[in-house]
Amino acid sequence: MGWERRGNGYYYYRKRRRGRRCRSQYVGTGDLASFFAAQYDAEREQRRAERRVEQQQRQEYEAVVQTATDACRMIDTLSRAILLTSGYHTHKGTWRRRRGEQ
Amino acid sequence: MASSELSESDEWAAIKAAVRKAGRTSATEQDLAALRKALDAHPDAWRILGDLAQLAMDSVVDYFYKPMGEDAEGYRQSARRAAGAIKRDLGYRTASPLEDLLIEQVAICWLRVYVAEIYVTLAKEGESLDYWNRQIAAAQGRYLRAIETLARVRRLGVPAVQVNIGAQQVNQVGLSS
Repeated sequence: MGWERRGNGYYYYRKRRRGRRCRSQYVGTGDLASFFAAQYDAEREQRRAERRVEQQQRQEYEAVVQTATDACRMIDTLSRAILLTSGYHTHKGTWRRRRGEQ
Repeated sequence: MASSELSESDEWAAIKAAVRKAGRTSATEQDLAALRKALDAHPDAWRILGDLAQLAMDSVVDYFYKPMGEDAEGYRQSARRAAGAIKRDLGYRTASPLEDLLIEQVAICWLRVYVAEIYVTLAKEGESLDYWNRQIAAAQGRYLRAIETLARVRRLGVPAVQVNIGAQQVNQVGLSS
């Protein structure tokens, strides 16, 4: 997005990405183009700020999920340990009592 | 010992390694004896894991209501009450310590699904929506596994096993059924 010099004049173009391709859209020149340029800049800055907030939100969420996942993994390990020491074993993915155990 | 220290401790690494060995199809009596020894070497693991589960639950609730600040205390309490109701319905505190831990796991996972579902409704189109949809899928997968583990342990009717908790106390850890 920005001002481009073509010949003797400055013209404002808005760049928009669609997939891999970047498309250039002519906006105008002069005061009207300056007005739109300021507006687009403000919108872009707002989107950046929203992205920063969302990034922060995700990082915090992932830290929380990590704590929860750690707890779940440790509980899994301990429950497996109890099952194994209580005479159970896994057979084709299912828990069974070991033969001869009461 | 703090819960985070437990997960990184040598004793926990020894328990994990012993569980892996004892869980193999080729496991021997010696492997099982080594697992029992590793568990005995860490008698306070139950209490610490219970604390860790509580910490995980609190951090999910706090994360969700953090943007609302002090005003969210009522919502925080109601989320904790909802998780508490799930735990109660599943027989928390009336079951064995092993089942209690698995019930804590179910409650944590339920909260995770709940938070991810709220965030997906707030997400805008595109990348953000994809992210929260992936989070929901992961949270639901973990929630289902937690329920399955609890159901499996109950169905198996694991007999009572004595495990030392703390220096003095001795608790029944297995299932009573």
